[in-house]
Amino acid sequence: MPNQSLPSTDVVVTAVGAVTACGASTADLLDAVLGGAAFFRSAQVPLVAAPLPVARGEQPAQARVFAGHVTGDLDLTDTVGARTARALSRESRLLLHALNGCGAGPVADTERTGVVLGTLHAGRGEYLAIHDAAGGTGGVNPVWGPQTGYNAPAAQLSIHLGARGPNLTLSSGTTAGLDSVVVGARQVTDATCDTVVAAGVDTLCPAVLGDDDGTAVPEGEAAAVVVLQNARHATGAPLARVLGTARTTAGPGDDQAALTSAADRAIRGALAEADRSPAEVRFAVTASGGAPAVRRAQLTAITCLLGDSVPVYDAAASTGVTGGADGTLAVALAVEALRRGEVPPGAPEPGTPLALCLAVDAGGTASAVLLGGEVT
Amino acid sequence: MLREDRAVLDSRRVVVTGLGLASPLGCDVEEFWTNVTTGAVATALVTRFATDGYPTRLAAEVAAPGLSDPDPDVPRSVRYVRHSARAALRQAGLGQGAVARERAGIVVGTVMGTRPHLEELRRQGRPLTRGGPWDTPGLLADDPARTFGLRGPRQAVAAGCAAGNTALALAADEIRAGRADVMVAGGVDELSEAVFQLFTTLRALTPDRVRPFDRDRRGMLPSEGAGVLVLESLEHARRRGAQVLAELAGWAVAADAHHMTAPHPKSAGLLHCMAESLRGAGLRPDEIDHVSAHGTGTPANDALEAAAVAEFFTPYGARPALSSLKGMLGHAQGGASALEAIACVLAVGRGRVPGNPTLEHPDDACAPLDVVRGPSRDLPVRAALSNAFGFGGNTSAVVLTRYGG
Repeated sequence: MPNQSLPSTDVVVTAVGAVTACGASTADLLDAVLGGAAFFRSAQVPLVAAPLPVARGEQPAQARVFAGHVTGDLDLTDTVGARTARALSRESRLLLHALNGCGAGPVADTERTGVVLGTLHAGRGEYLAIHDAAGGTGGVNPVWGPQTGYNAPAAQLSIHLGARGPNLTLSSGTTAGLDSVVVGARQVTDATCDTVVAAGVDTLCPAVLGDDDGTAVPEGEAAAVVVLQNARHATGAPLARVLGTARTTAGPGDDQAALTSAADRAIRGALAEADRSPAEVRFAVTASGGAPAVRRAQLTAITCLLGDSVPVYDAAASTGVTGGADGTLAVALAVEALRRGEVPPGAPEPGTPLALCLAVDAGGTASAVLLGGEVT
Repeated sequence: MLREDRAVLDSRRVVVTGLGLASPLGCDVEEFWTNVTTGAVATALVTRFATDGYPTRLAAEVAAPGLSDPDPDVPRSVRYVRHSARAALRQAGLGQGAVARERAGIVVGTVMGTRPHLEELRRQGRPLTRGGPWDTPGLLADDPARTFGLRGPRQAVAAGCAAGNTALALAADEIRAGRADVMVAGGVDELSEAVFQLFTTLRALTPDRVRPFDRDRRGMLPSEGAGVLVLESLEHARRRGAQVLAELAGWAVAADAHHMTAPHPKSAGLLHCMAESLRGAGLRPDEIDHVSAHGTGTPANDALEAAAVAEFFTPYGARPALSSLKGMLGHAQGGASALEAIACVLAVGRGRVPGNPTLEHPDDACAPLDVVRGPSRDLPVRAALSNAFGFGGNTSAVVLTRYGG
């Protein structure tokens, strides 16, 4: 039954899920971030997930990679059936596990449910595996084929959910995961959808040479899911509200100043859309892609606008840099903190805890999402 | 109507003011239009990589010095978009200072992004390094944004082979929502051996020509290219006196939510997109004069699309002229529907629709349809509908109409 007392444009978060090196829940992630725990280790990474046996017997490449690895059983036989489970890419496995973790599943209103996903590398392993076997003399495992495109994990989500609304995969750098929430929230606000599953995912690759200079944050693999719903039509209890969103692009100038300006304008834009003041923001969660210049820009903008007492969290220190998942993880982390009441003390107005999520890409784009807890 | 009311309405209408492309049938809009209306076929022996071991050795390639030459530093896909955006902005008259750059953005659709560039690196014996241009799909939007000073909304979007139309839809949304006055939008992909191998494995490649809607069609052929359109709010275009080429009157994106490779057996996504895009345009099916089909030339795709188009139009007594560019161009993946949108703009403006020059014996399933025979047909086009769909069940449609002021 629609709740007519709520504005039709209100967007609420009704579920969040995350699978990271820290564990298979947003609670695990928040515990790790608050405790300063990191989960990096060296482990074998295959080029593709569970390839079916093929006649030519190609051996997908493997290599040891020092990174934030997701551990544990990723079997999805009970969720999608044995045949489909075998054909899923690792990105899709992580995503469906994140979805299961937050209790989301096939939807009732198929036409009004959309999927928006952020990813920077989806299908990379499958593409490389096919190219490794290219030459025409033999076949390649046909299950890899449809997984080679960036859109494959989002498509798999729509198929699993039965969601026939828009299906979008965003790949514009570090902001992609947070962009999925921004674009998803706008689709709810403009009534394109009543529900949008916003998500982010990326996995590791054994065939890519790192630029390991000993100072960079290691890579990680992760998936995160944020279920956005029109407040009137929400089928789950609201965990948080999306109060404002903004996306900006750097203007001319030197890189550092331009990045800081983009971050500054994104924060101001989200606050303005929400009609809230900087003093109401209790904490911030950032996604920087591990780039030092971006990190500096984010911290400068946050400090200048929100003050230097606002805690700033970044999941990458615990999970590694997770590409398209970074920004969605930031939202999942913030919602979990709001839900659990893990809000840092010192808020100027009790009862109005706001969280700011900010992603900036070294290419010059910035995105911000302002979240409020249940009492906003 | 009050002047203010009209300005508000015009700010929500989206028009096309510039076109640019890089295709196997030309890297200039006039050359492309001549070729796609005279029956030129671009598919030929592949030169980009060795095909000795493949049963089918055909595809379509862009062949233009500076654009398609090997370059280890700049992926072809990036060069295709940059070239196309430059031409489109030039036609739109959007040189430096012609628009507030914070109000001008870009959305580029793709299937594989810059990933095929790894093949070029491997051919040259270079390593695949983290963060390299081969693994940075955002470059497809970042590079032209930097080159042309576009500081408004920016996005690279993947939606299977519906990516070009999907980019147009996202860009139009930015204008309609008031977040931009001008959006450079389109799609791109470059020819890839991995994709060639993939479709060989799936036995989807034809041994000779692509024959959309022919009873003897035997499959598709990969292709490459970019198509870019300058979209603009009508209010902004009027204010600066720009020539309007067509109106992007309706658009829709959806998912089949059915299977990773097989289309929905009842074409759920396509029917939804055709209906929604026409609803957005305020048009009935019998007001559509031309349908640019996805028409890959594979047995399954064309049969389902023909049935869906017939189901959608026949109840209104409508028989729009139907054609697919893929018989001439092959399948340019993320670039395909952007190139097809450009052809629709030209069809609307010039009163001529491309034909199906490789069609010899129309499939019986096409009996209710007016499939254009030969290289083209002179036909006044009030409105054109362009369909696109792809692996994963992504579907999209756009409606382009004649602009009458």
